[in-house]
Amino acid sequence: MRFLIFLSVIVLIGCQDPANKEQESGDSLTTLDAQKEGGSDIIMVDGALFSIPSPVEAALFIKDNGSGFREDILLNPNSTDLYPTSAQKAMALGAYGAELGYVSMYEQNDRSLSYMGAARKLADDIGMTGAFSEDLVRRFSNNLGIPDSLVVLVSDIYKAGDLYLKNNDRNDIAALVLLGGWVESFYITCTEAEKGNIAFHKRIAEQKEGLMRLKAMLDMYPENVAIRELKPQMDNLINDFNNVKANYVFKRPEVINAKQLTVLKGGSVHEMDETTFKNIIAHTKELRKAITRN
Amino acid sequence: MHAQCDTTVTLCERFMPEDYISDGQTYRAFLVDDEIAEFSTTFFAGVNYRVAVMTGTENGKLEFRLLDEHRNLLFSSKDYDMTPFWNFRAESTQECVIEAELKKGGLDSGCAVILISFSR
Repeated sequence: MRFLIFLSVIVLIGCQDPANKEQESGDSLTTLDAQKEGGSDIIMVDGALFSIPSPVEAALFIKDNGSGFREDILLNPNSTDLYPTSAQKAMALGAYGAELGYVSMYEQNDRSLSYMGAARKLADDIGMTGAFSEDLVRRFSNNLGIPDSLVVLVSDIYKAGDLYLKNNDRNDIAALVLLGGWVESFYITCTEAEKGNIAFHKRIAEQKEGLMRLKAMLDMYPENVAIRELKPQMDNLINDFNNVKANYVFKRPEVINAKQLTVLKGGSVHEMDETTFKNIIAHTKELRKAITRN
Repeated sequence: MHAQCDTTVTLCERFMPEDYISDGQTYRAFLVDDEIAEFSTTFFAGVNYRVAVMTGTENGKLEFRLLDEHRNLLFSSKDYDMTPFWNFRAESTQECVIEAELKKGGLDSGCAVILISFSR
């Protein structure tokens, strides 16, 4: 008897056998996969796993390819009182975490401490103080001015928060933190793309699948009021990305045993027209405004 | 289950180099018999990734595989002596599926932990 614990609905829609393309639901694709595995029963359980693109990874990309530090696009670190509910605080925490990663990359030491303080306050407010242990905060202060060390610590904060929330069965709050982090880093990516930077234009298109996974994750919590309220903005963005085309080409990977490394040679080429690009920018700003109230 | 998973997460973190950056998430699933934990992720072009897996307290009890979006097998730890980690680098941005399942003939059940880190 072979069970599949979880299937990422969105990616599997893109993974179906061409002969079965008429099947569009995640469930039917699950069945296809099970048939491949030997025709056994399928159980869909609540413990789904979703990989959401990391805000810290986005911050690194922005630093490497962007136009330099821009204070004008960032949230005010002294505005944490804009978020009265736990859900709003969770999303803001994700957003401030993304800002923390961004400012850390540019050696903005004072701002790093401000955003660290803001994120820590929000985490305290929603009862996830454990994500900001004294040791972690001390290490952060000790490494100010060393971006490579700071981004590791910011990621550790995200991971500690994620672990804490999941251990306490607060998966919906964990999802909102991830949402806030993704939207804020994507917003910064969009501001760079607006300047005509091709690398950012491409990166926006490449976020399609990550956004679809984010939506699938949020759909796990239909009873959550905050998620329901963001549905119009999310739907607009999803609709825009449905116009982004991805064409995957398979190439055999290369293995370098000495480095315990597999080099992936295949990949997707994304196509996004100008109207879609502009709509994505506009709808990202709307979603970001709904989340951050900025 | 949470305490068991926490221990496994700590053990799994040993496989991540200090200069690698966590993606900020811990992927965990409690597996019984031949259940499979699976999720999809994006490997961005030019970034070095490490995937590490663990169940229980000993290495080599959890098999993991990497598949492309058409479910072509790109990597299986079974082909590399059940290594608990492997490095990946994408020449182009690529959507991948990561699967993990208990080693045949090993544990009957356990908390499967998968971690992803990256470096420039």
